[in-house]
Amino acid sequence: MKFEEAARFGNYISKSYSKDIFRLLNNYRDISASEAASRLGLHIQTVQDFLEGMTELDILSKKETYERKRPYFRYSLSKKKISFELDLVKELENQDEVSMEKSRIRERKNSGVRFSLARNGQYFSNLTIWIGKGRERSEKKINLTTAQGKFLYNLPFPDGEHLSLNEIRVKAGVEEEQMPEIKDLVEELIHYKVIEVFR
Amino acid sequence: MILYSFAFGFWSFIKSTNYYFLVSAFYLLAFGFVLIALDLPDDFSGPKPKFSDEMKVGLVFFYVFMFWLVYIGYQKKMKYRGREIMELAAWDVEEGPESYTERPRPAGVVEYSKYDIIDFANHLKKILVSHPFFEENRVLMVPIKMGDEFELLYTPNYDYLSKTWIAFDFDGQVSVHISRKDYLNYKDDLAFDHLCESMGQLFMTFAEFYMRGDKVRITDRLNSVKVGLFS
Repeated sequence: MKFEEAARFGNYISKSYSKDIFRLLNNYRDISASEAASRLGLHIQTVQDFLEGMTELDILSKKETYERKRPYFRYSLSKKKISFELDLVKELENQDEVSMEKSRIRERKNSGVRFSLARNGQYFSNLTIWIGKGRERSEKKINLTTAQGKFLYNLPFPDGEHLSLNEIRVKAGVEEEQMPEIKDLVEELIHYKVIEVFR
Repeated sequence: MILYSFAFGFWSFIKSTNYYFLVSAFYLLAFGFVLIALDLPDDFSGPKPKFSDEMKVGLVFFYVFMFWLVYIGYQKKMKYRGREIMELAAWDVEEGPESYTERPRPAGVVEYSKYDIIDFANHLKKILVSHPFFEENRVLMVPIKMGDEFELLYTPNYDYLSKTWIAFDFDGQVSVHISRKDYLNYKDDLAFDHLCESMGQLFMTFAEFYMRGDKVRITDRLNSVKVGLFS
């Protein structure tokens, strides 16, 4: 299951009425939203949202039924068991990880960022970026880990030669195990237009 | 004059350890002594006054120190060399618009001991190339230009980190920071990366001269830049 789906599923299943709806779905061959709502004394929209959400996650299936005047949906369980498994390492790795490994970076011209040196010298302890425009303009301060501070200290200047993340890492003397936190920061700084990427 | 002597001569000597400032201090003291010993006549149309012996001794010292001061002034022994440093660093740097950043730049690595680096920094202080600020694990050398020395000498909490500096840490890492003010002093928008690299290289070359005993080469290099006595 993907992280976002798991988050939605967790949100639905944590509702106080979720077990009652699943019990109805188990006892009935299929059931409509209005039948379940009246049976449980809930608002029809609440039940409708729950059933639609479960259908989108492929836990329920729905079938359009034509009775009397208007068509409506009847829902039934499509799974008897739900396995809830998340591969956190894979799910939470940085976006565009592979392309970032190959890309070369440097500081963007006129990035307007302010770097603060750490007390003991050769790395930064935090940086401050101005975001937004006009009255919405605000200051964003990012505190850096030592590895991130050393990495940024060695980031090529706006007119310097682009370097790959690995080249900068070696120059900065940062361990390879600390690369995930570096990539996370680089992604953030690309987003805030502090770093430019040359692919 | 005595107050000026202490404020400008002795204080500069204490801060920089440059002995030539003592000449300036003693010149001002001698001038003060002459003024004290000078006995002006009540009537200038009367007979020509005679100088007392104290006055004559004072005048001798005054002239000796004055000529000595003029000589060492001409020799640039009391000139802060920040301008020359900035010029030398920019010697072969091309233009590169919009390349300034406030970040320091790692400029290289040297293999000297902590005490060698401290000695080198103190030597540059003595010849008025840069003023050192000692931190826990590094020395920052701030080049001082003529006119900027008053802030250094008389400001209690001198904010050296906002100035142009060259840092030698005790592991041998060299970093360079050039302040926006100094960068804008150049007529052209120079390529900033190259400029910082060149500045770092210049100080590493000075360090090399110093370590092999060719201290005079540092002065020669600075004198190769033709700038005025007070710039």
